[in-house]
Amino acid sequence: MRELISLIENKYNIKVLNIEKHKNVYKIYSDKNYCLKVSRYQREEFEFILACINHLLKKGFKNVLPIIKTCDGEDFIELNDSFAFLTDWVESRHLDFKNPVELKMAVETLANLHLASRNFQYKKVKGRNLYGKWIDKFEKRLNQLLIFKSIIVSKDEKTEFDKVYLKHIDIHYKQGLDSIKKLKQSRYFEIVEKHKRLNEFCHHDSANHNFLVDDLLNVYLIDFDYCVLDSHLHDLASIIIRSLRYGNWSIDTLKYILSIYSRIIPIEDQEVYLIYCFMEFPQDFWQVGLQYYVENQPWEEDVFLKRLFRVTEDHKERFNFLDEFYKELGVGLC
Amino acid sequence: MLKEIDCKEWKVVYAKYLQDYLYQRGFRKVIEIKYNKEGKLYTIKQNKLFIQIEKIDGKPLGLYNDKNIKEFVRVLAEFHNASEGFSKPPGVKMNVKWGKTLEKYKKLVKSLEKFKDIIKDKKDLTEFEKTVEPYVDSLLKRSKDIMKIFRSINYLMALEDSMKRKEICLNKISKNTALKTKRGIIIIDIFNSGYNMIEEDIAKLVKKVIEKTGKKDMFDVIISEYNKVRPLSQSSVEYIKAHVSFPYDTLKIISKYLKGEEVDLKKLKKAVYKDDICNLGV
Repeated sequence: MRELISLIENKYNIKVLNIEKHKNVYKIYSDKNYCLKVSRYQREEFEFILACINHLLKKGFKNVLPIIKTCDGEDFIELNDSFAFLTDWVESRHLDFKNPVELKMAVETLANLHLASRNFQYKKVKGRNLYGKWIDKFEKRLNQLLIFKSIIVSKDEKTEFDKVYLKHIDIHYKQGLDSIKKLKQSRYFEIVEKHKRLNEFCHHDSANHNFLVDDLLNVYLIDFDYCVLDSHLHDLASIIIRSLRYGNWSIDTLKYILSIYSRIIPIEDQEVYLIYCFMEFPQDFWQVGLQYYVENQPWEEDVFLKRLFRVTEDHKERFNFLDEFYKELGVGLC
Repeated sequence: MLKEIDCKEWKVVYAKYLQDYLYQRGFRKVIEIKYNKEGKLYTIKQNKLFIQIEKIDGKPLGLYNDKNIKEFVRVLAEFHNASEGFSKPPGVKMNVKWGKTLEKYKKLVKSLEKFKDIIKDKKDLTEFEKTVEPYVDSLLKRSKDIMKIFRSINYLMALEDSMKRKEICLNKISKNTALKTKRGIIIIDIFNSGYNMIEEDIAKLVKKVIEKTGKKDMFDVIISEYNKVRPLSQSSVEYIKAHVSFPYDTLKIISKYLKGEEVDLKKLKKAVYKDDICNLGV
């Protein structure tokens, strides 16, 4: 830590009074407080992330914290195995998507980010371009579901997680297939091609904890680590899922989000259909399997089970909601 | 004097900052939390939390006597006026409850719909199901009518206004919220307070009073008394009425039943009765 303090003091010419680690950032106490955001990506990806943030700032997007330059005029510093950049520390709390007003603030912020992201020009960075790749991604994930199934079946002794996962795998696999089939039959490529010409990017992690709100109700979007080039529909579908999942499935809330977003970026019926297809893919079920069978996350069995139960207990309501959503599509949802 | 309290440490820290803010704004009808000899706000002994407070002689506030009720309403309105705009210092936690009640209501309505669905084609109803069945449709209609109010654009605008003004609610109103003392009513529990729409505090009080007294017209008495200190808009009155009329207790028991938790039929009947007398006809 002493080494880090000294680096910050030298590079930014600030006197560090104290430093605290908060997940992937450090809170730096000085004459005022700062936030040092650390990213463990390779330089190319890290620079892509910074380019996205700088593009937003250049376009006048107010909901991102400006990067403080080093004394040498650089945007970042190099640590042993990572890179980091400095911003002000904002006294704030996370937006609560269950509060309709705060959900509105988040959706508006996201839509404004998409507007500001337009005309982003940057060299190709591996893994950061998802334009036209939803189908490929979903197919790959479906294949992984089959791999998870074969892992479970080949086990002599099955864990509780294995048993529960196996019980639910077929129904989710079928749903994934449906989602891909519908996407293939949709105007996905045509619509995405149109959005691609806008050169937009997505935040790609629109969880409520990435939206900070201060006392004056200013919203700041943080953590651009996962940002990708893709249609705004990707982020929009994600924030819809995040506000509805785990027991909150509601057509009213869906309509509410779409109506707020559409006031800033209009959404056509065919685009709503793509959102439906995106939402139909059983992303959460696949993800918890990936965490258990592939990534071997360092969690206790109980933690994995809890995550799995959260998904399986939600699945009937989610399926019912998707049926209702599908029926409503004919009516025109926006 | 030393007082044992049942809450988390951070709530004591927050409460002290709020109390200071209230005192600065001239509102002293709230208990003073003092620092102990070590300069700390609380002491933990055998996993119990103790705070040092000023010594006050008084009786718990009964909400069945009109005079007490009216006085408490005025104190509550003064508290809302004085606490509005409070900002916590950096690093201090506080409750943020804007929109949370709505979310609870939504889930309860969903449970009720599920319950209706389950008993629809069931042949052998349990004793619980038989007891609830006659009320299901009216409960559902009432809840859905109320939810329409809370989904309206006007309500969302009111919620946003509350957030902009930084309104603070006590959030918990019971006989232990305040003491009746020689110098008037003193609020002794601000530990659960936090950001929320003030209409929710008033609704909680109205509900409590109607349940205790059985008198629906106490709604008008409370609103009129509150208005003397802090005027309420017509919309606010409508939201309070909607909160009071929401059949919360009954739906909560039904939701517990659906989760497989043990439920007492007596409690159910009591909840149905209470929710019925609190139905102000939205």
